[in-house]
Amino acid sequence: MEETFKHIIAEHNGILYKIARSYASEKVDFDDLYQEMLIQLWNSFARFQGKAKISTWIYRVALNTALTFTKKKKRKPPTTQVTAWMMEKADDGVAQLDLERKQQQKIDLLYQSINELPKDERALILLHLEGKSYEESADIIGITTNYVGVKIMRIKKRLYKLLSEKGYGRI
Amino acid sequence: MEEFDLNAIWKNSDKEASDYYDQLEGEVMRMARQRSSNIIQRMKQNALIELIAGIALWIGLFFFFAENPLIGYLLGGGILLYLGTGYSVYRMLKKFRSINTKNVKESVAGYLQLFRKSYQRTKILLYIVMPIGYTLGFMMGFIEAGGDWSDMVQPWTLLIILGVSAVVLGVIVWFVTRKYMHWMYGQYIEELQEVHDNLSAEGLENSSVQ
Repeated sequence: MEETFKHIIAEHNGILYKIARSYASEKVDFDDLYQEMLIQLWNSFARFQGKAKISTWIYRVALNTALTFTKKKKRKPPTTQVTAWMMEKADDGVAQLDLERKQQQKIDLLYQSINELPKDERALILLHLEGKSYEESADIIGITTNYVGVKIMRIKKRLYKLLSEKGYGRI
Repeated sequence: MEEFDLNAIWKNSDKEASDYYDQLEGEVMRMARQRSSNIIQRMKQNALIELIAGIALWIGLFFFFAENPLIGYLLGGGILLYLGTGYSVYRMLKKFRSINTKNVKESVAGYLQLFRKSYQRTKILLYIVMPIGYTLGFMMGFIEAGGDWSDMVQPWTLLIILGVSAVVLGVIVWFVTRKYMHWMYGQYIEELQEVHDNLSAEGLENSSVQ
């Protein structure tokens, strides 16, 4: 069972990573949330009967966890922004090509902007960016397909505005 | 800015994801077995802490007042209270496990409904049980301090004690219980309500939670 679980997580780690980055703006929260999603997935793994696709099950559990995730209070050390942490990591070792650096900046700006959206909107936009259909997103979140369509249009507008304000077009 | 641009950028972050995963691959099972700290788990954790602290306090009181003539009431009350609490926790866990987890919104709504009901029921129970407990404690303390049990059971003395303590303690208990319950559970329920409201926004979905 453990091996199967590890294999599933290895296959779908991108989902967890992207959700954690979309819901946590500080490194310490990112790590906590990533771990929390692993805990909830492991706890519900025994009950997963394969009725849904594995990726759909992971989205449901991980998004549920992200939406109900609260930061731990009273942390002592100053926290590092996830973006800053990622940039530090990227700057380590051999200097990156300019194109790669720009790509990295764009990724960071996208996550920063998603971080500024309301929690429910983050869930919808990340499902959309993952290429999920309106039907699949509606099924995962539990809202109507029409509502997903309307919301996605609005969220994208807001996201573009946020990205423009952050200078995305100038990169 | 075209949409395909965002999708391409999003796709590019897969590399970051696998880099991050590579660092913790060996740790995955250890991480998955840690204690959870999300809203629901925190409430369960708080309930467990309360239950254990309550039992410990009751045992402590039992030994402290072992010689007191009212010890039978304390013991009986404690047993009744914990039988009731145990049964209600068992029912709650049963309902908790049966919550539909088909999608995010339904599970949040299910948790919310269950927690709201239990929260209200517990608050009402505390408003009733705590003044009785305090009054009983006051009477036992009076006897423990050398007061005469036969003086206390005179109807007028008992009525005055009960009347005054009911009014004073009622107000204090109401205020403290509200604050305490909000700190232990209410704040988390509010967070869940907020999540649920956002998912049901704009009236397109019928909410069954109130």
